[in-house]
Amino acid sequence: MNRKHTTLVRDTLLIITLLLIGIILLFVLRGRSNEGSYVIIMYQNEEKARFSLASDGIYNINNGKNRIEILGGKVRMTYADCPDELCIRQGWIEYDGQSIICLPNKITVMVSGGDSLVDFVL
Amino acid sequence: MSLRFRRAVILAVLLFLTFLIASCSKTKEIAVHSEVFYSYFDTVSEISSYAGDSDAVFHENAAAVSELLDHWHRMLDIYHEYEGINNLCTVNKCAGGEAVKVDRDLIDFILYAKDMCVLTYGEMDISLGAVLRLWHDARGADVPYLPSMEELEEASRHVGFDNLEIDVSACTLRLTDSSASLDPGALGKGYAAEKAAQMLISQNVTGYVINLGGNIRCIGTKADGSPWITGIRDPGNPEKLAVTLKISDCSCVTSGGYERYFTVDGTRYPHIIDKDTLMPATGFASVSVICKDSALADALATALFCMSYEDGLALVSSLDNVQALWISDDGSLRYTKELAPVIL
Repeated sequence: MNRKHTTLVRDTLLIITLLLIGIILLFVLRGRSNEGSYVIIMYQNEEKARFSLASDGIYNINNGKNRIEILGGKVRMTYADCPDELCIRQGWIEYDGQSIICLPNKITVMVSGGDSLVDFVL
Repeated sequence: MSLRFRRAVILAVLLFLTFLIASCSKTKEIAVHSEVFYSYFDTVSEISSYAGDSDAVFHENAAAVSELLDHWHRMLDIYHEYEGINNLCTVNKCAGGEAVKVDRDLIDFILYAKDMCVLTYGEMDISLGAVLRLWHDARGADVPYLPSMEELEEASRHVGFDNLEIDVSACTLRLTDSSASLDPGALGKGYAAEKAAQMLISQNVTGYVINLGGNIRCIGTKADGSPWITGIRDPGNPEKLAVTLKISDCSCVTSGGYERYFTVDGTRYPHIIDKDTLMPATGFASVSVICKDSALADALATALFCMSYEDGLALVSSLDNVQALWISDDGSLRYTKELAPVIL
């Protein structure tokens, strides 16, 4: 009876420990993959530029018709020459797959985890 | 809670972790071959295969490329002569004298260089040798210095294709002005890389990259169909990259890469000399050109480095499928519309 009880406690401890390790690993790995995330600028379904989500700054895109701000791993539209400015009101996005669309200017700003492996340096 | 259950739980968690780790690692692994040569064009040359081919096939191709590069290195060398051939060094030495019988390949190179000189409004001019020689000596001195403007202006009187007689049928070259000289530095590497690429293409080789000291020519794509990713250094912070570019089946050449500088009295000067001022060109930190033909990319990279952004953009826009990226000293980027750089 006593022995069975000890086993139960040990089992529970083991399961909790392993789950904790799993959760920690999950965050560590996810944190790492976030570093390689990109802001992709699409014009009519064609990639026009790509910014690292780590490159804080304000950037003119679409020949100055739109402007984005990247800060602390998030991105938002800060300027659009279109009348509705819905894209600006959408605010910040940060997660893989999220996007801001400026329909009048046919511009999509999307966040994507990307492969930053470089083959050559010039 | 039996021992069996405990084992099952451990197994499940381990499997879960294994799956997690596996899903985060890259699955696409192509065996990459590469071979480096140090003896051509005073730079490091590298040929790499991402085609997934065998060692034996790669070495055969690399040897063929090496042989071809060696041929062009000898042809275009202006500092050494080689037994059995007349090269540009011979042509320069015989300036003002007899016509020099050369290999047909060298005539083709000169004709191409002349075309490029016209195309770039004279900004990429291999007849600038007399001026470049002064800069070469000044850079190479124990204490680098700037040549005097009098010397430079004197030398600039011996520049131009008018001083060069090209006899295509007799395969001879003759510099009529004894002080004139040819310097293929702005074109040679790109031209040789393109010749090597064309040779591989003619043998149906794909998935290869020829990198002649930063003149990159890639053939096709990697075996899995993906492009190569080329990083362009941030000239203000050479340990970092300013952008990366995805390239396939094309060339990428950068002028003003940060190694190509020399310093006089604390001021950094690039190696590229502007024909108009006879001084190092200082308009940009670097200019990269991306187009299929590596010789064209090399010629344009030099020319754009010496031109204003507006003139350069007009020149690039007048050509088909040529892209360019200008990085200014303050780090700002400008690039042609079709280029989709990854800005880091």
